[in-house]
Amino acid sequence: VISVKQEPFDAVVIGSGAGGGFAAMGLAEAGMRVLLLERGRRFEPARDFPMNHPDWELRPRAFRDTETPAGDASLVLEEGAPLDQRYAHLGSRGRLSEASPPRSRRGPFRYERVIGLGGTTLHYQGEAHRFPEHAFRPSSLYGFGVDWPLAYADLAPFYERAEQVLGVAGDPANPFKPARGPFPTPAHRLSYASQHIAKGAAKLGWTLLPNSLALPTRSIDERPPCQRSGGCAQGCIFGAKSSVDLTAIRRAEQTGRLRVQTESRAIALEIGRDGRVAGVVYRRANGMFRVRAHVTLLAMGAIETPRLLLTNRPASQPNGIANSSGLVGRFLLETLLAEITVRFDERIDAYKGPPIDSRIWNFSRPSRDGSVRSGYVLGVSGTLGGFHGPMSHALLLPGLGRAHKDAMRSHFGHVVTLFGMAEQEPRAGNRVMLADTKDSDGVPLARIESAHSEADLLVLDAMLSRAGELARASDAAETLRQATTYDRPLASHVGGTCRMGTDPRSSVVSAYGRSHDVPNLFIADASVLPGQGAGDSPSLSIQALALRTAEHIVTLARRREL
Amino acid sequence: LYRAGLGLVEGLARRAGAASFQALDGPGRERILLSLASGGNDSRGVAEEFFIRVKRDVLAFYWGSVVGQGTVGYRPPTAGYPEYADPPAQPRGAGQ
Repeated sequence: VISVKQEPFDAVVIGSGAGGGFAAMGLAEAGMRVLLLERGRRFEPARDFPMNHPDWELRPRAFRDTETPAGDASLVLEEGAPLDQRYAHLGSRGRLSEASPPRSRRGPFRYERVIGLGGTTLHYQGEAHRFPEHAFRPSSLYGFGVDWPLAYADLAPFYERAEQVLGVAGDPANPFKPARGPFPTPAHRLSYASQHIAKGAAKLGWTLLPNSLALPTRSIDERPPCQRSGGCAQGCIFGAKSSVDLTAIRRAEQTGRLRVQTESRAIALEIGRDGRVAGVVYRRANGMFRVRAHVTLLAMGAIETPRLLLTNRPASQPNGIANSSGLVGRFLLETLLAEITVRFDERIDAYKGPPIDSRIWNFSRPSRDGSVRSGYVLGVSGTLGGFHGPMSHALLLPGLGRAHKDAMRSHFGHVVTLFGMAEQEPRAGNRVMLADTKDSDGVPLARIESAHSEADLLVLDAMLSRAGELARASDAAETLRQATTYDRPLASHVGGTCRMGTDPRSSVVSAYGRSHDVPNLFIADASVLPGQGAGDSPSLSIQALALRTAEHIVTLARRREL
Repeated sequence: LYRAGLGLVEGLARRAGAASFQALDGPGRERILLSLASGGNDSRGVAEEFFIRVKRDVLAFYWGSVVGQGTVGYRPPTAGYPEYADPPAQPRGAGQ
């Protein structure tokens, strides 16, 4: 039995992460009545996040682990594509743990997302990057990937608006980024660890710069400034991190036109005879509901959005909703990550400060000789790599008694992770598809079919080499581990699965996120990204695109063209 | 598991000539515990499981406590780390 929600809404937004939250804000602030459906719950930083306690590393994670047999999985966990053994040296390994046997296939994807109001911004590390101008035209400039249907200049005003809402802290004097005015709040000083690594980078002729971060350095909207606790991924206990629940959604609620409905999972889109979305069916603990609105926006991320579209197959759209191109789910862009964790003889206390407070953008363009076709960005982190507080170190270090304590003294505060993130080459064969297995709502789980191209392997190789060079130049004493997505695939910065474009035969949505097939259906999440910004983090671009989509919807509504 | 494991270490201690596990000095106790991990005894399954569990529990108790954390100069970030950009201070008791 489905109950019909009688309350009138102009728009229903499904998913409350980077895209959904900002789209809801853009619509509500422009006068639209919006319903925001979120599968998870609302979090209260001081109550829900664990770092207020000395034993925080032992306490249950605030964000439930979804991709386990006991969790609320979306993805089938299965081995991936065969590994190209020419690149076996990229395999993940640790000096401190027992060597695992060499793999012949890639491991299961780790799907790092959070189900809750604010989505994955609840655990993101606040990176707020504008993609560089060249990343919008990679095909024209370098013969790599596909050009976007819009230019950096089209997105710049929306980047600026998103940065204002987030109170982004940064230094405008970044020679690798487009010229710009001041950030809403000043840049963080480099942490001591980053100051140390900066000296090594300088020896190599590279520039380690302050990261631009949605971790404001002064109070914004009555929230405290960043306290440099290093706890972004655990949930900021101070409520200082600009997650979407505390910024865009809060602003939208203040308009009085946004209704947030948590613990509400969208199950189906109903398509009317006119080919438009006629209703959204969602489940709550007390039953199933249907809501109707003029416009529906999907913002569940690059895996869940295509999953919902492919699951629903009305007679008029037998390949899935909005899928006349056959491209829903295709051109998946997975995360390309290579990292090494190194130890220094001297204490650097990298766990203090913003978790990723610095970046090296020298390599954000493909190499001049063409050997590395994708851009990438290097970074420094005190909390990646499994080492964070004393407990995680203690469990990773070998030995007992005095030997273990000595190891703790020589490792805790001495460890940092150097990493690179790159843009993956978009290929139609890399995709999200439906599995035979279904979840408790009867919705098929997603499967990821994805393999690396030669360009992907070369950039992983380059990033691992550069990270090693940086470690040596910074006088690291030893490398404790290396991990790459060569064998351990990661779905954190994912995109591409409902790519935007001008041609309905080669894209799913327009440059404004509007479905080519279903006129009142829009997508406002990472699915629409045709590329990954040369290795920059995607959340700010998702937010800017969502604001642009919202503005377009408002314009269409005013013209009665929806 | 704890009862079986404690019985095992008592037996190993006596076999090594000690009156009890508790009567051994630090290195002696460590030798016995490490032998559980390496399977150098008769009940490998229980021994290994006991070793893993005890090690985890002891590490959690000690390094999750303010006392243990103080030995490596750590304090939880309940007040943030305003000193994050300054050279780190030496932990108290360093070098002991």
